[in-house]
This record gives sequence, C-alpha cells and structure tokens, in this order.
Amino acid sequence: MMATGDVVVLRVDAAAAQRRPLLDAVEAFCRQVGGDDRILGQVLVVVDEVFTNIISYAHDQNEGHGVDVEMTEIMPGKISIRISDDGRAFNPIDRPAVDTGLALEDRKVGGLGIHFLKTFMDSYAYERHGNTNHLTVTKQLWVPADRDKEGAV
Amino acid sequence: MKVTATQEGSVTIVAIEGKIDTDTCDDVEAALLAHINKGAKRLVIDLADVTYVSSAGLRAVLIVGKKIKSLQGKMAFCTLRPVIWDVFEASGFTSILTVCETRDGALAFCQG
Repeated sequence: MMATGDVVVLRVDAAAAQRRPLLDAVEAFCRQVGGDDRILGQVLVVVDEVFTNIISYAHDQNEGHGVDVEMTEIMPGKISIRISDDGRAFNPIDRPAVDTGLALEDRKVGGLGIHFLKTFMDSYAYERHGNTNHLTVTKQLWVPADRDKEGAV
Repeated sequence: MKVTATQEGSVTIVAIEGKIDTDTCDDVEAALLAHINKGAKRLVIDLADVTYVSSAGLRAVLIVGKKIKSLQGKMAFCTLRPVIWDVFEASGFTSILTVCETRDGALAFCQG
C-alpha cells in the first residue's frame, strides 16, 4: 500500500520500446493513490507526451541515454511526477502557445503535447541542473473531502 | 487496436477499439484512409471503446478530417469517454470536428 510521501523511482532507456512499460508503471502508481479514469488518463497523456518529446528530440542518438521518473504522493490524493533527462536543454513551458482556434484545414498537431501539460496538470515547473532537464508536474487525483463522503480512509 | 467497419446506407461507421497513440496511430490512419480511398465520404467514427488518445492519435484524426473536408464529405465522432473528450476539447478539436454524444446523432449528421 502506498503512503503519502513514498517515492517511486524508475529509470528507463530513452527508447520508444520503453514508452508502454513506463506508462504502465505510472498507471500502477496512480491507481494505488486512487482517483478516477478520467484524471488518470490526463496524467498518462502528459507523461506520454513528455517522454515522446524526449526520445524524439533530446538526443542525436538515444542509445546509452535514460529517462528518470520520480513519483510521489505529496499530499493525500495529490501526486508529483518528476521526469529528468540528460538531453539538450529544453524548457517546454516557454514554448509558444498552440493556436487551438484555427480552422481544420490550417491546424497542425505540433506542440499539442506541451499544451496538454499546461492544460491538464495543476502545476508544472522546469529546471536545468548541469546537463539535466527536470520537469515536475503535480496533479490532484482525488480530493480528500470526496473520499470522506464515500466512507473510505 | 482494432478497427471494425459497417455500412449504414451511404454512411460508413468505423468503430475503433483500444489506444490511439504513437504505436497505433499509423494503423488507425491507414485504416480510415483505406475506407476513404474505397469511396467512403461519410464517416461515423465511434470511439466508445477507445480508452486513450495522445497527440499522435490526434495527428491521424486531423489528416483524416482534412481529407474528408477536401472531398466535401462528412465526418462525425461519437461516444467519447470523458478523458478522450478532454483531449479533443483541450486541442480545440471539438470546435473544428463534429463530435456527437451518440452514434445515432453522428449518423444523423452524416446522413444530412
């Protein structure tokens, strides 16, 4: 059983084949914390987009590089996920906003991953330390008051 | 990921099952374009059994949407799960594509 403050640490290779195992691990962590499928799905999409960006753009050659993921329940029902990579410096937060109001024929999909990050997460922060990018997101998976109403913990 | 198609008059109903992500988006796109290439110009895309869509999946949706528009066809999505709706809405896709609550609603739109 997860307890608030427990940290789950994962390291996966920067490789497309690691995307599904990583998302499965994030899902397992979130399910232990609790919450519904809708919020879980939002978290998975964001981790997917961040990881996919890293393996697509962070390195000239992904071989020998990894991605570190640290997941914590920082408060009851609220999680923090920190994703770190040693790729080229990339701050997703200061990318220009996507124009989601364009007509169908003018729309492009580039940048939507970062847009999801900003839309779905409660907070997000980027730091560059030495050769490493750290992206930290938080999300409330369930509100303690809701839990009390359901008669759970 | 699985794609099943049925014909309802002039409308092709395509039901997708599974995840539409970087692993499956090319297959989804190819399956939908194959129906268009065979002459389908009115498409209902039923997402009731789609559990996950990432931006890679939206790219496929956008390509198919542009193709249908260029053919002056009609396309409607239906029965999105809450998280799929969130992804469509956050992307602005609910404004540029027709998204219906029910399959009947989507069918009616495409028949019109």
